[in-house]
Amino acid sequence: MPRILILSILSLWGIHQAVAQELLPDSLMESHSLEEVEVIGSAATQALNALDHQMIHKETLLRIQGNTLIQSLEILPGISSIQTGTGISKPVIRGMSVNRVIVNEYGIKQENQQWGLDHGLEIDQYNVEQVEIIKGPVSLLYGSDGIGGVIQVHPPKPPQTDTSYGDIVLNYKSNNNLFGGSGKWVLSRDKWYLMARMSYQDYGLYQIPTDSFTYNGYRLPIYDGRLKNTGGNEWSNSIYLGYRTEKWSSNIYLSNVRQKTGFFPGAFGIPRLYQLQPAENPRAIELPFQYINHFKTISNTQVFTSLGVLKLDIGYQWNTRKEISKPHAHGNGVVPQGTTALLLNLYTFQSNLRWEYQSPQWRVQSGISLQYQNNQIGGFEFLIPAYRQLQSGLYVYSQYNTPGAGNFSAGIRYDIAHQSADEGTVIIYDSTGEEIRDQNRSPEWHKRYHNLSGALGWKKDIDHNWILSANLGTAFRVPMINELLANGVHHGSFRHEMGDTSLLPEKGWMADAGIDYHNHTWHASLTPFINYFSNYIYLHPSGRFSSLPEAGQIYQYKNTSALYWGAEFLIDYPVWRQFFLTHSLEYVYNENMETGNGLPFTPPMSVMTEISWKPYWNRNQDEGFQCAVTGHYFAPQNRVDINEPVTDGYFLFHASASWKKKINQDYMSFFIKINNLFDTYYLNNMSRYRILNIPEQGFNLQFLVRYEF
Amino acid sequence: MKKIFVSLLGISAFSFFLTACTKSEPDPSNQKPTIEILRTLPVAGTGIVCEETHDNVLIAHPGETLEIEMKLKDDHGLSQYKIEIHENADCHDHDHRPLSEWYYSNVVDLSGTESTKTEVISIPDDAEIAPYHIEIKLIDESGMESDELEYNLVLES
Repeated sequence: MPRILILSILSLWGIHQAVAQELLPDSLMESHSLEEVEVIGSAATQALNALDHQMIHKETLLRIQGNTLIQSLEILPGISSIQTGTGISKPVIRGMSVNRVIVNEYGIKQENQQWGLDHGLEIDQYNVEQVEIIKGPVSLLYGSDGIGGVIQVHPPKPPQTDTSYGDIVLNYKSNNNLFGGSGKWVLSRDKWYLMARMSYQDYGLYQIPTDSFTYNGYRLPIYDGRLKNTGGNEWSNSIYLGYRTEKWSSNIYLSNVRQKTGFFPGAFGIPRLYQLQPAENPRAIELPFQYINHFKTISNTQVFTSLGVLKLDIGYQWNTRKEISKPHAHGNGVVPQGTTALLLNLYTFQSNLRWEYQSPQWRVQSGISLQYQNNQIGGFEFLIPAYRQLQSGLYVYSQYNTPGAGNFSAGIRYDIAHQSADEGTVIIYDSTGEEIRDQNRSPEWHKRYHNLSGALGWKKDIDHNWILSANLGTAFRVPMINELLANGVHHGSFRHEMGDTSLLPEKGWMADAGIDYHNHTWHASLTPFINYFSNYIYLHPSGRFSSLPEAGQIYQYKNTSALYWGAEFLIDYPVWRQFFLTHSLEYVYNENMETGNGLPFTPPMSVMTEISWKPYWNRNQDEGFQCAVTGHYFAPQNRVDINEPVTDGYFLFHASASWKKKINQDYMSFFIKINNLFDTYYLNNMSRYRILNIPEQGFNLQFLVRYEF
Repeated sequence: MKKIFVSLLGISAFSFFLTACTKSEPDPSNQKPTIEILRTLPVAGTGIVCEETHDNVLIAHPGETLEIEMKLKDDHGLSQYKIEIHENADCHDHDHRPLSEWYYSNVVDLSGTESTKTEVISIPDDAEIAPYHIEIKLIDESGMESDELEYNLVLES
């Protein structure tokens, strides 16, 4: 701690020194203007430059064509996802998920009840131009939840003045008969520009390479090899209006994403034969299903001054989540809420103000962030109460570049949070629909938190071939309302989840390092990490039954000490002439130090090898052909939590090809991808349906066409 | 070129090392608890419930008594069992308003590694004539859950 204080004092001194310097010449400042807008998102990268970060661009995303944005990002070592069917994926970075990973779109943190394992991400995959992944503790810049890392969706590059262009994308996936389409139109006049996108996709039941599954000793059929009621649709609209000058730029972004996703009915209670009969219309989404609407409006403003750049991001989000199913509480009557089991309406207001200053040797970033949330509840099931939460943080991050010893960074942050929740009650009805009584589920709650955290980083370039880096930081996370006050059966998880108001904030120490080698032909990197948490919050099986109807065991949130370590390895290497090899490996070990067991939903070790062919005759920016085969091995996951099944290893093959052609002034691109080439049967321990012994998606031929005009 | 081969060799060795690390077997000392049914009254037989044939059907009448005798086992220590009986009149469509409010739920504390218990359940005189599900779950002290056991109870007039 004293070291952090000394460094923060040093960094404050650095700001003073930097400000005291003479004003930069105008010519230097001009380079900040339009070009700076194009690299708007990289401020964090520069501040956290010693952490491992990677950027993925649209073309790569189109080539990968995952079912969701997060699934596409899984090709990066260290990134995985927790899935429910084909439409819902939650990001996992180095084994950490839910409220330990931040997803940020256009500078504003996505707030969407991210604590739930079957709560996906409401971001239009077609609308992502570039996405950046930073692994490791980013809390210093992003606040409480950034323990594991951040997935940052950056705004598209602003168009050149007085242009108009757009694209149209059409997409088909054979496995679940997905049809998707998206269109974008961009217009710029003088200093104004407008970008609009509309996307829709609709998918049916997904196919799995089996005709039966075994649950509880019973063998149950899968009719036509398709998992019942797993279809869904997604409808997204967004508009982005920007204005830029030499001295300042500003934009406003409005987006709405609506998703409807069916759940396999066998996953709600004990699967029974009559639930598994094929539906008359397999594309119709029947009960149970999830309906989500995420509306947001974001404004980003930046002002270029002689003393640096001042940035203000303001966001308002309204997330509606409805989980629809028939009332399951036997012995109770019909509920007035009808089939709405869980209704959560979360309103979030955020504002982040930051100032960035750069001199040849110093780079300073300082900011203040504010977030206010209001959560309202409805539906016949109770899980979390209505609550309000205010979070605010103040930070300074500074970097000093020495000619010989490398680049040093240090940061310090002070956070405060205040939570206040209403008493949670459920009304019990009799068979005639009359109210019998109120049942109290969670107490009224008020709590304040505050915390001081810090981070240190070092990065050094040796001989223009080697880059070494190291980071050390403290982790801090405010307990979420569900961790404190949940008390109910989480839809689809059978188990009764219960909060604990005595939980302490999650705290720990996190360290990682990077060794990177690159020359003009190939590149390799190794990024080991180790994290220790003194108060890690996890859902612990209590060994006691719930008294709620049809509920199984009570799972209670609990503090424990936990250890995480692991590494990612990546090599990009031209094997022979026009053939390239990408080999990557990821490994996460974790241990609940009180029980010695693993923590739930830990990704298995995996090794991916891709060989791609990029012929000489067609390899430039504008046009190009390439194809690749990929082998992906996943080791068995035997380190599991109590009551979590072990999962065997598996090996998957994929193949892909893409071709881009210039037609007059326009471009036409074709992308073909085959996932699970050999229709391999495998169970994935990161899938919510794994508990039912249901395998993952089989063979999937995917086809995407993009026309840019 | 030599450098590259050396590094590739290094990667493979590293991969192998990590793979070897993950090959550790699950803790064999923590097994699921088990439920063995010694006796049911009435005796379970074959019947048709919700248009499907089941071999775990108990046929009874309102006002009668059900008995289920179970041997419960765990390698470390038993915690609780839970028996629930709920109506299945609509084959779990849950759309209708239940006519009878008979719903049975009982959680019983256990201790030791082996226990024989008999659950005695009185069916109310006014219980609806319908099919029901009987579900039995067992849990040990560490939180390991047994496979769930299920019977179809058919009440006849």
